[in-house]
Amino acid sequence: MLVSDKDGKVINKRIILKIIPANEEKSMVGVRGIIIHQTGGATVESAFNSYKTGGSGAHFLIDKDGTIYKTASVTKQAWHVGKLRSRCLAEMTCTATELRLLKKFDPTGTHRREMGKNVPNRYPSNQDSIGIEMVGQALPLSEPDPDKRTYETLTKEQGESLKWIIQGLRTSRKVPLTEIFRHPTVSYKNKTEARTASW
Amino acid sequence: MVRLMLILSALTIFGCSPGGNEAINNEKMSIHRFGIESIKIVHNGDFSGRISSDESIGTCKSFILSESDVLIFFATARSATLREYEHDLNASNCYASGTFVSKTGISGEWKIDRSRRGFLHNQSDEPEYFYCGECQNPLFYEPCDIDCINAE
Repeated sequence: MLVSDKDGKVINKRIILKIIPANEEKSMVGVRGIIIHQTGGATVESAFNSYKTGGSGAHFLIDKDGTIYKTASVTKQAWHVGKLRSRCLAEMTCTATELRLLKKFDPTGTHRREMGKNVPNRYPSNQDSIGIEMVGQALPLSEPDPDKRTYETLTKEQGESLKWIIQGLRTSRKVPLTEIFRHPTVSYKNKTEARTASW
Repeated sequence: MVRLMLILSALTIFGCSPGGNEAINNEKMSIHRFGIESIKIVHNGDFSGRISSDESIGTCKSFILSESDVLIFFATARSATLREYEHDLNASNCYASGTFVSKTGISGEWKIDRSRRGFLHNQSDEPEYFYCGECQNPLFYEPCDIDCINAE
């Protein structure tokens, strides 16, 4: 069971608290989902450095040995999702009007329309989801085009830690299984990111 | 061809981008960025299928770049980190790619996608990644620089 203090800092001896202020944005309205990522870097330090620059980041970071770092409060947004894909298109539940609008592929317009809906009618976004990143590169590095690389398989330890933390968050934050996604499902990304993650 | 030569000359003489002073202020002054002598387009309006996106082969057929479009892109774009390129920025299945020759005779390959990402690479060096939020070409999707990841 994961318990949070009044600032949303998860308290559990299995989790190393390493809050990076630059990684915390404004308050989260509520947790409606969980998005699973891979960092693209080889080490946990490279992810910390990226978080410190104020670019993208996540709430939890899992090293290859399974160590779990808490890098942002779960009451704060972290920028980890990006523009949303159409959920109704993936689940074949779009209205005729939506289908007509989706005929012209327009990521910005799609995102704007999606954000006018609530989960579960859209995918969870930065506003209402927890991000979990696993340290892992897309390979081979000799391939200059990152789109042609394949993200490496999660280690056994990462897989176990991921399942443990998701179970804890599902219980403490009441996130249903149906609202847990890999990053490429919800946004426009390399299809192989987090493909070996399971929960 | 005359138009292409004029663009090349302008970029060489002024060492700046059609997008303004961004390139001049950029700390990472890429040798490729200011040293492209010529480019050749090998793939245009192609579909990669490697990105999780609802684009189709048909969507990508209209993404046809000219040689001058490519030169303007690399003259205008800002440098991006590998993490930005492969994780943070929106990606697209629609792309154009080809080869380039630098003013110093180095040859390599380039790629630009419809989400305004691009890279330059030659065998003896690390790839350089770019993002062009300033590019005015209507063939690109609307720009989404850092807001690609902080989208609300």
